[in-house]
Amino acid sequence: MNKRRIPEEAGIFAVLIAIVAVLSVLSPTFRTLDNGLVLLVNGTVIAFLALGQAFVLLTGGIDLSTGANVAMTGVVAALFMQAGLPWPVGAALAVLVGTALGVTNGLLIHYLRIPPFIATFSTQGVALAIPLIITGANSVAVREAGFSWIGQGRIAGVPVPVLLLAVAAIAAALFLKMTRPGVHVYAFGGNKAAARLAGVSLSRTTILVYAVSGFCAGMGGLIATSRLMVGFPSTGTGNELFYSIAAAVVGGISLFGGTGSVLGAMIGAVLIAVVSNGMNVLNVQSYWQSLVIGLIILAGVSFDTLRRYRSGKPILRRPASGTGSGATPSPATAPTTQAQTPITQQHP
Amino acid sequence: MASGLIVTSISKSYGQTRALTDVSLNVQPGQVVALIGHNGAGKSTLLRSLSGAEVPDNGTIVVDGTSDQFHSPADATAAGIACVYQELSLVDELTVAENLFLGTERVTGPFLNRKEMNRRADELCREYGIPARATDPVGKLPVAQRQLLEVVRGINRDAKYLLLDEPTTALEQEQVENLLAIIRRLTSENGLGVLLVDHKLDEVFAIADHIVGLANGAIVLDSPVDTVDRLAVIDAIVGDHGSLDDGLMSHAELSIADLEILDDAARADRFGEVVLRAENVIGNGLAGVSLDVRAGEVLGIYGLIGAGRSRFLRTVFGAEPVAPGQLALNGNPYRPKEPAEAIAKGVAFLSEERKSDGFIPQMSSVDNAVLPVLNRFQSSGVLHWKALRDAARQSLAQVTIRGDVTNPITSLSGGNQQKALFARATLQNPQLLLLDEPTKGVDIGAKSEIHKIVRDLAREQNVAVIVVSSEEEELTMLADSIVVFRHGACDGMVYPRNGVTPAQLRELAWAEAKEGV
Repeated sequence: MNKRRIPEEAGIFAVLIAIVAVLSVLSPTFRTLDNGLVLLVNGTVIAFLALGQAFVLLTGGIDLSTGANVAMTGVVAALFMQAGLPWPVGAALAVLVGTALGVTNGLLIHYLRIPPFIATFSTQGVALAIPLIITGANSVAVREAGFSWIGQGRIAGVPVPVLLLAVAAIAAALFLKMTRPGVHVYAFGGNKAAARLAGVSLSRTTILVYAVSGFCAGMGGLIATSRLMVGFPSTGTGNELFYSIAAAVVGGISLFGGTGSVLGAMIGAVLIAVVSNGMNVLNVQSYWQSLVIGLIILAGVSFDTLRRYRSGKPILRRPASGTGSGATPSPATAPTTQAQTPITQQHP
Repeated sequence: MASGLIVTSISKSYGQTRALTDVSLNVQPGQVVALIGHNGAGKSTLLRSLSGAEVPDNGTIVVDGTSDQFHSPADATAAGIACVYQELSLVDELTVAENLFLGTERVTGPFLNRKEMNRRADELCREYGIPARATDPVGKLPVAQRQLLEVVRGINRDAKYLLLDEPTTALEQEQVENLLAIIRRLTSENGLGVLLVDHKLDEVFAIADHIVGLANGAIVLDSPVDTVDRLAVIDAIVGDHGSLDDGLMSHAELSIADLEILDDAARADRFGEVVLRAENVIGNGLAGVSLDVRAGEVLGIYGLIGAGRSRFLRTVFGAEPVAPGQLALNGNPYRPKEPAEAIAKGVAFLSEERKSDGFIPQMSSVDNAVLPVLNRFQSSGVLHWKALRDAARQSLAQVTIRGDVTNPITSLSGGNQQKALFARATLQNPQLLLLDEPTKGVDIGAKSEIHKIVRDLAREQNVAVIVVSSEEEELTMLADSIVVFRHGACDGMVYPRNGVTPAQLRELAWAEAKEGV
């Protein structure tokens, strides 16, 4: 009965190994352990964003506000500490602010029925402006020395941000596989109308995924601020959003919702970090990075779209809600998906 | 040159199924021809053939002396035929004028001549009594006005023949009269020929010059309206032609009057307590539904498509809004706001459209089956997948699914998908099971298996079952008692399954509600 299936993530993992191998041959610097750790630390903010984005993408939505949320929470954390709060309190409050932005996104999308793209596009603007308005576009220095532990500390030689990410990723993976709301996320993304008729609460699921995305952005904001010990109103507003969506998509999270895993998204995030770091150590002009990552996104999305097309589903159309023509997946050719076997997923 | 829209012996098959057999039809300018027929009699296929959406296998369509082969709706439009379907084809975001001229915009050089289009649109609206302005977005208009607008669009394109597919279904009485008045004017003043598909005999007799009846894809009635009475019309279209040799011309009249009715005492004797009681459910497309179903009883709902049967089930399941005080579950007021609430109260539902709102395509049959009952298999928020899977496998085994239940549910055949959804319903241990066309699109073998599952649930687990079906034979086989929906209403009259034939069911569905049967 329990056939072994090749995990969906195997493909992207093989690509990652191949890229690492090539870069290791090309650059002696790349293959050092130190560079490995630097690469991972540099990738944590994007990985956190990708983790949150994964939840949203699984429901078929998108969260464009996460980059701006990083800037907002970072500055807010710095301001709380400047106001005299102990750093753990300031950090916790800042993450709460980030989560609140996510909850706002969820409320706008569910109750006002604003399409996710538009709703988060707008809140992105708001989140960008808030730190600029509060600080007058100046940076806010953090004097609570203890706060640096979040971004710069190490436990048993492993950087704290990497540990934080690992804990969050494992918690997220378990949540999606082992809890009712987690399974509901997949059901929502697979077929919203059917999920509702099977007793899935659309409001709770929507708010949940955007809240998780907001929380993850908040964590990203803390790490970014802690690494520099300065709250910059422009942190996280560069390529971070772009790279994090790329990470989730190349990791196998479908932009159409319903399929993908946290493990995949994390492999995707490492892949993006490796590519970016590899180009740095090879002294490739930084202008090339966006181009290469853009091409990686295209490859990932084409693969996802093709896969849907092959399985007989309409491309660029989500399963219809209500009656009428819906998704018409054909038998047999449907690919084995992540969602179908929530607990058999392996963590190598 | 012969005028008129003349259809001569067209046929159409889909694979083995013959949808139309040798159908001939004649619509003259200035004439209203009513096309009536039962679910699946072939009306839609005929309409689609005339509007170019479907190409008939053989036969000819001649429009005012010109023989035409319609390969696309555009061909039919060019020949002067306009079709108004039930699902309106207007673009909500565009204005009245933009919709009226969509595809035939007036231009001056490269520019749209909006002024001219708006002027003409306003003129048309005034002429046909549509209280809208040329610049109003169509999405803001009520359904009745949109329906009229669609008719006007046909006229604006110089249509000579108008095909109307049940145009009055969504309209209030007053709007119906307005629409009928406009149809009358179009025929008498503008000389249009109208082919009207309508389920309401009142309207047909009020407006039509000629009645054409379809049954099983063939013409069974073709007669001027003043030489035929209602009973003869009903008799012709409800079928049962094989057994008409009893020589009873007014078969319809006799059979309906003689029908045995199951009274409450008899049902109370045979079945358990009343599980669901609906009292005059009104609103959201329903026009007064009263019925009840008892524990262990399989209650069949019969009616024409669009009579409100699915709407009623979805209302009971909390997928559509319902006013307070209209439903009672186990004698307590019941007003579910969400399907989740209905599920929590022991109501299970199988949708008619498996693919669009039945299952999650990416998930396996197992995971689809356990989706509504996850909360029963968790402790402090953590799911017990092993127990869940075991329970799912057990109930999936009971319905004998052919295929791997751990593969995505889409890898199964339609019948097996449906059985997987039955396994989902049984896992819920429902006290009330709502089935909407449970054997639609499944093969004969799976069908009888599904019937057995339904009967077992009622007999052995004392579940109250409501089953909606368009197949009369399915209901007379499966249901203990049968009620009939007409135009969104149900009078709660219960017929025993042995006391009613498929043909009688059809008659009941066509009978006007106010005649009280």
